Amino acid sequence: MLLAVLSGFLLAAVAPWLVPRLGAHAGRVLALLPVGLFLWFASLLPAVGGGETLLWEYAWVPGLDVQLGFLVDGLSLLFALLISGIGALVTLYAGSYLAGHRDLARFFVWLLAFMASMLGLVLSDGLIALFVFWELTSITSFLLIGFAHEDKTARQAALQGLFVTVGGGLALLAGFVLLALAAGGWSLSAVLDAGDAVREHAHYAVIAWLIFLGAFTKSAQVPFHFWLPNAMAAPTPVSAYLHSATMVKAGVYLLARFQPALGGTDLWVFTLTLVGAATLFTGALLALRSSGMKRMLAYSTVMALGTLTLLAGIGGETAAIAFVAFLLAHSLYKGALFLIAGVIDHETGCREVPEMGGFGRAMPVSFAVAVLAALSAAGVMPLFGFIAKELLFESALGLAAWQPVVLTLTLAGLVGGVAVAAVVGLRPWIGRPVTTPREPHEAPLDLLAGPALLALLGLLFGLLPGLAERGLLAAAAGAVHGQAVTPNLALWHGLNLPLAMSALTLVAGLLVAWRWDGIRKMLVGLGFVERFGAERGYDAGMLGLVRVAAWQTRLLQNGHLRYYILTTLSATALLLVYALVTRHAVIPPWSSSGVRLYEVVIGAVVLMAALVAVTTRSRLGAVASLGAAGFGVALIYVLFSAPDVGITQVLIETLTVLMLVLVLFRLPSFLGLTPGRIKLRDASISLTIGGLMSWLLLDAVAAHHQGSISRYFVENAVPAGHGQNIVNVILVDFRALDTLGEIVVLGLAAIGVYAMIKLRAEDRRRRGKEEPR
Amino acid sequence: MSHWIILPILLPLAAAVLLLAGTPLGLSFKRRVGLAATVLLLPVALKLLAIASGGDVQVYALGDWPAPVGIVLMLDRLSAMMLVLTSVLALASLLYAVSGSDALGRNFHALFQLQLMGINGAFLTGDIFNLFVFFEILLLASYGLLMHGGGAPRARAGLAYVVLNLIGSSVFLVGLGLLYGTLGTLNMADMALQVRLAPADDIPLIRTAATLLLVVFGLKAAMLPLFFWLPRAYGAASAPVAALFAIMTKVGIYAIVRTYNLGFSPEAEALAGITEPWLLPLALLTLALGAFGALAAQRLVTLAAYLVIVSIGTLLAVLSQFDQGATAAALYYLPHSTFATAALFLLADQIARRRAAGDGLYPASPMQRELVPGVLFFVAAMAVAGMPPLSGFLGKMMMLQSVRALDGAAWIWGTVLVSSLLGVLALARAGSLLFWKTEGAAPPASDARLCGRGEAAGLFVLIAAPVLMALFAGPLSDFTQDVAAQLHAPYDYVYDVLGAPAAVLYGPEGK
Repeated sequence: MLLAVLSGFLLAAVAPWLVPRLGAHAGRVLALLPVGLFLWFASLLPAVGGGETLLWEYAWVPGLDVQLGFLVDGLSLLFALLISGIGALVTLYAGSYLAGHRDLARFFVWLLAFMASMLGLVLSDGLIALFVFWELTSITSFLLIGFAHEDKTARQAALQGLFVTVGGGLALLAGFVLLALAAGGWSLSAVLDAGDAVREHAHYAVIAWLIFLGAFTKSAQVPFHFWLPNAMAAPTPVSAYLHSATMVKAGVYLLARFQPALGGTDLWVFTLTLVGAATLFTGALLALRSSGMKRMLAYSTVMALGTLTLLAGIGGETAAIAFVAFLLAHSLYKGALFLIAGVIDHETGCREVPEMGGFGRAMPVSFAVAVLAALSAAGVMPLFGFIAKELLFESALGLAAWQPVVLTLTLAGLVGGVAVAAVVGLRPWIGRPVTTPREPHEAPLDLLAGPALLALLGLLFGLLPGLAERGLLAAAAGAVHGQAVTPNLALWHGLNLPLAMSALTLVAGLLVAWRWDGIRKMLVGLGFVERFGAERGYDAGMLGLVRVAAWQTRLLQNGHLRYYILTTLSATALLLVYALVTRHAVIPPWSSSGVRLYEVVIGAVVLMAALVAVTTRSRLGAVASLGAAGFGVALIYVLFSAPDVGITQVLIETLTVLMLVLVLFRLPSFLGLTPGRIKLRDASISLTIGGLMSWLLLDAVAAHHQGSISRYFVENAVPAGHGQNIVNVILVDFRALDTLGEIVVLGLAAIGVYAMIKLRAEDRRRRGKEEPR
Repeated sequence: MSHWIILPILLPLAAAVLLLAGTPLGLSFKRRVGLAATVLLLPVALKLLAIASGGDVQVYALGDWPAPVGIVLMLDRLSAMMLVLTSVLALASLLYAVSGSDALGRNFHALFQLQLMGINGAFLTGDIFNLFVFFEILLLASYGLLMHGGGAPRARAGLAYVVLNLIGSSVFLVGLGLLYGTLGTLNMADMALQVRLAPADDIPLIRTAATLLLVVFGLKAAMLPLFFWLPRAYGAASAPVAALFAIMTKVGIYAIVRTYNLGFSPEAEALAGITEPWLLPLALLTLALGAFGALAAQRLVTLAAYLVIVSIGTLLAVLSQFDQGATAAALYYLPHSTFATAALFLLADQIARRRAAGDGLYPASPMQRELVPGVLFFVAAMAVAGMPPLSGFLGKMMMLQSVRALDGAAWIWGTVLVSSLLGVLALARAGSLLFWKTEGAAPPASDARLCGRGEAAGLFVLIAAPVLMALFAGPLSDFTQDVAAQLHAPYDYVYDVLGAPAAVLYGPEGK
């Protein structure tokens, strides 16, 4: 099983090497893998159809309780068969459609990787693995949409799709973690077994909403529907595969998958039916408003996804059956129609439906296939689409709450759906032949095999519904419903309300199709869709995001060292005050007894020197007064019986002053450009920091010692360290590693200075060579 | 007492001395010595890891002076893990550097080795003043490395870097002064002990000192609002240096984890409530601003630098919970983020070489031979962004799961997930601009070697790391669980360093 899922990745890894060697046969050879997978999955049919659930498990991160488990029941098998089956046809098709493209190898890498991710998604038992594959489908889809990357719209569409689906994915991740905690396990099996616990969990609403977000973004539900039609920038085989038959169904797969555990609550039914119905209606409306064939089909996919969400929301046995039937029907006819759209583009160069006409004569086979698929899409007897549509009406009629709203939206949407099917199924083929960029001619077998097979299956399952039902759909519907169901798919259910509604949508839809040009113009005139649409919101949000990002970078990373220092010091001061204020700790005042007059004098001199250093306009004056402060400090060392430290300080001060003078004496005096306000700000922060530090240090000196390690140094310097100078013993013995470290620091400073001087010299020499004077 | 413990400090020091003395012997000599020392560091680190994984804290008393008085090095699982991480990263960076970028300035190899000495010392020392010394070494060495190659942008970024870090050093010193004044000790284990014994009068000072240390470590780790030095410094550094610097911020993180789990743990009565109200918000803001910065980045290296900030924010947010499970998860994410961002720095260099526009994130003519950098960029971006199936995703996953029951969970979840999305967006945008959005024809393919053998090897090591970390996520996360368990049993640490009699005072737990 692991091999089955990973084989796509493996083949993708060798595809760059393989494809150029296979030449024109690349598509045909690579399609052997999905064909093999399809057959393997088909071999599982008897067991799964018998009601079994198969499980494979491999360890991955045992510490996290993450397993690579694979679960095959009716639902996942239905998806796996669709993915591998349509995958095989699309691979074959793409080999011919993109023949000779310079990036063909790259295309197959991503297509196969996508297929493997998708298989992993629907077969995973572990929530983590499911999420991993979920995000992989987003990424591979990003790469496939951006395949024609010279095209700006393709790049933008790719980014948009990625942002929306990855964003939803992250919500999904959060939802999964909460779900796993509520259910007490990380596997689907555990979640499905713990349905009651999950529904009664305190976080149920959060979990449901997070999962909705993930599913809605992936399956292009309102208001996230806008990315899907834009994703049509991908090559046609990709559109047919990802954006109609497989990836976008991941969201509804998730809803169907979790329905037994999460479904049935008011929140679930209410949200999903309303969002589903709204998406259905919006999709139909926008489809009629478009003119590009792929775009129309894309919006009608949005419509179908809305239908599936609606069905997942309604719940119950009939809806479960309707869900799987509609899923199968849609995958078959939509795949076929997309591939036909590609055929038209490939053989005539036309993409806009209003510019098409009369191709039927030159391309009779394509015409027949298109009509067959469109009939199924419109839900005409005796195709499989008809059965699915009947079941949809039956489920919607069974809805308890919000029935009128949902029914109205559904009916209106389906009228649009019929119209779209009629337009794409008839418009390009009949009527007067038009002039096209390329002379219309029939497509080669590789291009026609896929759509023809899919369309014929739609007919076959319609005539013999038991064929699909017995092995597969019953088991799949059982998985959606959560318990075994006994569907009874048939073309004829007698004269009843669903049949009447079906007929009504057919008639109305045909009327709309007949008057399509006028209706489309009218819909296009409704500009508010663009002005207030979700896509507009996305664009505005993106722009705002980028602006905020640029603004905060300008603000924070302004390049001025003084602001960096200012912020750093202010933050330090704030945190210090915080640490002192919490728990109302007040530092005890230090004692001022025993301070002598000359100590006060030296202190005053040091303070004065510091004051002069910051106020003087002369650089030399500033350096000199800094030196004075330093010498004052040295004097204090001497007075407090540390003459060696004092001498060191004097040496360092002398050197520093000398060096600074050498460097600075050529520079002009400070300019008084700083306004008083800023001076005040800087002074207050400096004084705060300085004051805080002085206070703290004075207090630390006065603090009570709990017995310090310094006593050990005093006692052991002579007997153990064999030295009379205790400082020396500390430096070279007790704490020799510190001294070694400081020596290294000095060495480093020397290396650094040397390198900088050398660099300048080399620069000058190089410049001298370039511009001989 | 095993003498292995001091080798990670002595080996680079000896190599550096040899390198400085051997300057007349030329670059190829230096390369050999530098590589040999760095390669040798890896088995040493692994040996130490084997020693540490036994679970006992190993103490190495320098000069054989007893623990609270003399300086001790100590080795626990965390130190050993950080050493291994450093040695792998150093090897990859150096392999990359010896292909040519080490010749841009003087003494690259000596500086590199001293930098390693500073980093390793910081991970090994058990003495807080000694930590200060090693911080100084790594600061000066990194300043030298940052300036390697010269030029005005480097000088400018270097100035901000060194000035801000020197402020940090003085704050560190003040904090140390306070601690020594009140606790009378510099040994970390002894400090942990003394904090618990401190009289009430001293507590305000101890709290202040602990806050000062946190400011310093936060500055090293580039936490908001102390992160100003990072983007420009990393953006200006040469590629292998920037890659090595990926560990530098982690030194700050390490210091926080070490001192706060040991001595300043909020569990200690004296320090209760000292970090809770502000560490998490600051960490989350760091994370958010890092993500926004990544989105606004104009160059790929700047983008990578902001992603370093993102990883720091993530780690700090999770670590601020001072929870054992959360620490374990963060410690799995830490090496991952180090490798992944380092890889991105090296890749940015490779991409810049192939493009007329360098690594600038704006449309330009297509790059030469884009296949390999394209694939590598894809893998590195997935890793950095934390997308499945690489280790970044697993790390994030573990972190989210570990904090779920804690107070800050909702904030951490929200911020981490949203900034992940921003990160994905920033990387996708960068990839799209670098590889897709091209104008004009490709420049004529030159026959010049674009990628040296060493460069390929260094890059390979760093790209392979997140993949391997994902494959071996099971044993690795088990190990970080052990690391966290050891960190959260500070009693054992005190016991191993100071011996039983002193440790009895420490707390109620018995060994």
